[in-house]
Amino acid sequence: MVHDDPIARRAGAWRAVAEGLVLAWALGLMGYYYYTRGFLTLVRELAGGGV
Amino acid sequence: MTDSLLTLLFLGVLVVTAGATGRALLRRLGCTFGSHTEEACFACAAGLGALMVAVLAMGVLHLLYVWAICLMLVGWILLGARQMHVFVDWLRRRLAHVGLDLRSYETWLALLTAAAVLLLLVRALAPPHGATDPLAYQMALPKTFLRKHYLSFEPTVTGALYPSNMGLLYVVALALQGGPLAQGMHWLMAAMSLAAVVGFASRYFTRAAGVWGAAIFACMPVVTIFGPLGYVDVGLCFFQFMAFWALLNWAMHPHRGMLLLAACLAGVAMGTKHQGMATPFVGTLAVLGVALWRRQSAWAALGSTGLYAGVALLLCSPWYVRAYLEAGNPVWPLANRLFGGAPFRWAPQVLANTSGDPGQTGLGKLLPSTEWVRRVWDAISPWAWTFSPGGWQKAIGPHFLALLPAAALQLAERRMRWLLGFCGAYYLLLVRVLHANPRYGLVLFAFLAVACGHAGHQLCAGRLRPGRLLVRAGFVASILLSLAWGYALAADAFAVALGRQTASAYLRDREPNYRAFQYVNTHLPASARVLLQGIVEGFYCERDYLWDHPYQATVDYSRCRTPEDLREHLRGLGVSHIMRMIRIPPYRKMYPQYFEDPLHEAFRRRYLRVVYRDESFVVFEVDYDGLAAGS
Repeated sequence: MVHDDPIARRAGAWRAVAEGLVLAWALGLMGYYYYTRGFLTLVRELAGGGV
Repeated sequence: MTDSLLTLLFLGVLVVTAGATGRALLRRLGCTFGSHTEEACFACAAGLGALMVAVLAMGVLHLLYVWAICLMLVGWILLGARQMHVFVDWLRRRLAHVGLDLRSYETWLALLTAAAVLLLLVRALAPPHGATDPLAYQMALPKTFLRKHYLSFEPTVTGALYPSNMGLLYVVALALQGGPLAQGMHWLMAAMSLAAVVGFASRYFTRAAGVWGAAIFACMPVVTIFGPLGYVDVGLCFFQFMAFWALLNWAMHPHRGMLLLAACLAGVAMGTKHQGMATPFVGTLAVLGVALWRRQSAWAALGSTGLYAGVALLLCSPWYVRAYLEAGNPVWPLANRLFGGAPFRWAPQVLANTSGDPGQTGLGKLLPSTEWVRRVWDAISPWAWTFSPGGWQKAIGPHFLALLPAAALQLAERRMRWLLGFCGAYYLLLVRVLHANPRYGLVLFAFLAVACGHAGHQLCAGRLRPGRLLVRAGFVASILLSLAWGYALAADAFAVALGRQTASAYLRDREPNYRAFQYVNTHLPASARVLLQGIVEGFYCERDYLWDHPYQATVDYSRCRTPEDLREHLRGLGVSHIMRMIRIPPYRKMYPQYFEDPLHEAFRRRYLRVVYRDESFVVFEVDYDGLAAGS
């Protein structure tokens, strides 16, 4: 028999929100880093055989 | 290609032998381990540590001859001969049962990390060039030791009396083959650090966390840049990591053998670089803390602590005794005012960044004030280390800052609290007393990589499926971009590593002083003593040499008023030739612009005769009789 525990449900929801936030932070920061440090240009140059 | 294959062969033999010898030593200590990976990491660390001790003894005994080193290596191999087949069998079984599950995300991460490590290896296989510190002292001093057959004191060379266990491995590498093998030894330290990250995480977290952590550590720009070069910092990281890991093993399951192993590894770390002092410092406090926490009697606690600290200090003490005997200062040229050692004009501060808080004493110095933090924030902030590092040595890459909040989400786990607590304490140590320089504290980032790896892996097990996919895609994309950079850095070295270009041709294009040193090595008599003016990278010089580096006090132009004064000064130093950089770059302000300096010009006209010149360097013969015509 499964009990619906509102406290656990609420904790789970908060946990999901926190995970979403740290996930957005991680992806945003890595994206910002590689974009601003010229990695995309580097990849374009490598693809064009320019290094 | 033959040279590279030979380098790889030597590296393979050294690592297998280190593992076998180390295993024999570990059995004598009675240490047991949780996994074969863990045992292999500790065996390699112990084996290489034993090799360092043996070479150190030979250096003190004036036995650094190639034949003697080969004999010693035979003895070192025999020490582990009984364990050799066990270690090789284990390696063979591991390789035969790697069991690549290509549906596993971690398998792909491991393959990408392996590719990054191989790109580092390509750069290690190229002849040493470009980097200042290895060519100035970290590899240049071992080459001098080998030429003079003992651990000679070179008072004009930076770091002449620093502890240098990695330098001892470079002595072996230079005796067996040359610069690429020495760089290969440092690369090996990077590879073993990654294995250690995986092994540590497998024991205390999960193997997946280890794979993530290894990928994070391998993609740190500071590791990418310095790992395949003849520096010592990744070696320091490896031995520190192993020392702390052994200490943790002891704390979890107290065993005298494991405490001794932790102490030995701490001693090896401290003997690798002054910054390694942090290891026995933290370790001693930890041993005392654990002993008291376990409610041992005061005597037992003091016994454990004394054993740990005593063995660690004993192992690194030859370096400090040597410095004291040579220069009257065990940490020469640091703290030279305190010890009154041999003169040195400028010494770097070890306890950097502590001067800003007057009134703090003892361990209180570790605690920063808000005013101090505000003032030095740009130098100590992980944000700055990520986005605007002051040079490659501070560049930590994006993954730590990106994943630290995710790691904080895991603080409910006790192991994560301990790991992040340790990292926080070590960060404090790094920014307060270790120059706030991530290159000096790579061990912090190795442990942090485990924490961030665990956090990243846990994010992949999160509740939101799109989130899981995004994390995986984002992380692997970041590794691929780092790999692209690693490839761009290595592109230049493929030709020489694969034998399509000779080492000599490669160096003539890339190392400006190489041609001039080739002349020195082939045309000057074996007894020549060369003064290097404006040049600090003496690695390729195979004659006795001095620097006129502004920090040293042996060659001192300020005491010379006339060309004759300078002549007598150089005569006293036994200088027979001078190799000079023709145009000193503007950023090297502390050197004179020799050809525009009245004293040096007058001296050149009267006493120097050109014997070689190219577009950047000139070699003079000193004519003490003053008969040379002006050139």
